[in-house]
Amino acid sequence: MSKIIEISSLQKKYGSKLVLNNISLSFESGTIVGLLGPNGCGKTSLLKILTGLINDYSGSVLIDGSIPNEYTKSIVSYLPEKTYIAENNKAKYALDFFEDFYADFDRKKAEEMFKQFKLDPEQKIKSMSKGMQEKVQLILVMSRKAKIYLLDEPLGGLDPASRKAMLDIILNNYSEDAIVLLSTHLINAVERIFDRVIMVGGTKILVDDTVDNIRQTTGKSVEELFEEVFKC
Amino acid sequence: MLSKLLKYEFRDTARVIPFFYLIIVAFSIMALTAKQIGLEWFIVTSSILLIVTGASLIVITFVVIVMRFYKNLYSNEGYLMFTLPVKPKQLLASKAIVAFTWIIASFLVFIGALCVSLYSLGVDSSDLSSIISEFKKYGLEKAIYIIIPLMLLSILYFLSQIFFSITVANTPAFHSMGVGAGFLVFFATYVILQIVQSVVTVFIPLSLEINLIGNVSVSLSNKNMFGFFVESIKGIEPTSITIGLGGYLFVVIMICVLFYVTGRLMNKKVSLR
Amino acid sequence: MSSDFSSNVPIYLQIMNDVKLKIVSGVWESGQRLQSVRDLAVEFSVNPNTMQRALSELERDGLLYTERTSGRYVSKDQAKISKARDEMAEEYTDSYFNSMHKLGYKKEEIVYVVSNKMEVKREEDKNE
Repeated sequence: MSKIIEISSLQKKYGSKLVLNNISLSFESGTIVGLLGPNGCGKTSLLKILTGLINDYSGSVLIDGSIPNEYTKSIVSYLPEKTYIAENNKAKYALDFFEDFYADFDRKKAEEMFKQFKLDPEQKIKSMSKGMQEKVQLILVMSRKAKIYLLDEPLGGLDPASRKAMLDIILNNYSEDAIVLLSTHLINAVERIFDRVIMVGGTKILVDDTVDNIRQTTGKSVEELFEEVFKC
Repeated sequence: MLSKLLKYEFRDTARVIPFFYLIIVAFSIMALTAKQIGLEWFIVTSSILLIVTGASLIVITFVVIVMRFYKNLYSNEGYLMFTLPVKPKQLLASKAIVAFTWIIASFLVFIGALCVSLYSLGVDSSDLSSIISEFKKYGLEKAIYIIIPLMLLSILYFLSQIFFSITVANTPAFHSMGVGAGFLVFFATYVILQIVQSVVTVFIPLSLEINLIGNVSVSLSNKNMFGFFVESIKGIEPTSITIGLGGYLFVVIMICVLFYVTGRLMNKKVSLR
Repeated sequence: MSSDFSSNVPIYLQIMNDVKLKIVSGVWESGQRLQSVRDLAVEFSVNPNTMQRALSELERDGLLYTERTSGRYVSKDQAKISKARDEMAEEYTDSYFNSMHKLGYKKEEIVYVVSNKMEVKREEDKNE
């Protein structure tokens, strides 16, 4: 398994405020990694840098050997926390859009998942509930055969049944050639699908270990460890 | 990729504007029917409506373009646009091309509306040909070769300032200023550029000299406009009019600079909320 | 199906237990072919690597075996399965016994409680 993402000495400031201080990380394909941490700067900035949304940082970030640019954007499938598809359009429009811009988009798969989740492609996005919008976006993002999936709070406004369905989608799309980096605060529900978790706090990496190792060595679940690490 | 961006850009902006084209067509039909019927007040009303709608169309087109640029790149949709496998400057180019096209179209429609209203008011082709021959007498029909490029340039210039301002207003430094930042930056940019342009026009020794003695002829000269002003103030009878060209050169350069800087900012500095 | 995992035991161990239970209780029959690792991972709602690890460990224990071309199967070795079943039963019994003991029940009382429970169950089954 090669290192698909390599980060070294990454530093990010907003004005004079430091959010990431000398971070070094590497990621291999065929894993599902949890990115945990308090809401706000470090975790979010890290994801945005990997997506190419933030280009103003120091240090080295290599995605499949390349600095973030239009090539890396073609192999990274990103799901932000917000609704980022045009809301005035029908869901079908987003299908056309993804198909046009992403060579690795599997339209049939997306349409099947739409059916499975009772989502109507002819319905306008803005008339859908927040939960439905999130499903639409997750389906679009996971229907790409990307090398890197960056999911920012994919389970946010969902009920437990939908959450399970989302996790199933993620697990079903697991591939040896891809890595899923998932950021969430609902650790309890998601812990079991992670190989590895990274906790970002303050400006540093506080924990970087496999889930089973954490349980074995600390006798705590990831959620319990998280609460301990980030006790207010 | 650029062609795909253009396709979606046109698709998304073609919602509001063509609607107004239809209104103009409707008013045109109204005006022409009025002319047939011969009802004076009806003719005048529809002509006025045509001209007013035509002018508003241009304003509306600009508003649509500004709102589109902001919404598609710097609101939530920006998270999608900036993660597409395209270079940010391609995003900028697609928007500039589509915006330019719509504005030209709106101007053409406005001119069309103007023609229809003039026609229904009673101006006909004989009046038009007499005006044209008047122009030809003074050799001024060549002016059209200057006016049209000038207009196109001005539109591009205006667009570049708009895109530049909106982009600057969305860099981290300006985040705290909120929505008003865009307007402020535009205002500041416009004013500063106008001032610099005026200075350049007057002082750069490159101008158009219009000879007033004998045949009216136009030539390039390396006098500067400042000299012309000084002489006018002194009360000396002008033998020629000097129009500074430095300003236009400045505009061409600034269009390139503004687009380039906007592209660079989009690449490096833009930060979505 | 997704069981609620206890928090401080590695997940792969808990999966092993769940799978073992399926095998010894016959839900997964002897000689039965297993679904792919990915499908099982989805079914148990866990990471495929975790699933893989659990299955590998069970293979090491002899409850599963892999045929190179056709996949994974439940062991045909009835003796092994019986033994695993006995081991699990022993664990449950130990656990039950210790809990009852903590409550203060003595050996005879525990035997009484258990046989009584079995009587009740037999009646219920008869009445169904």
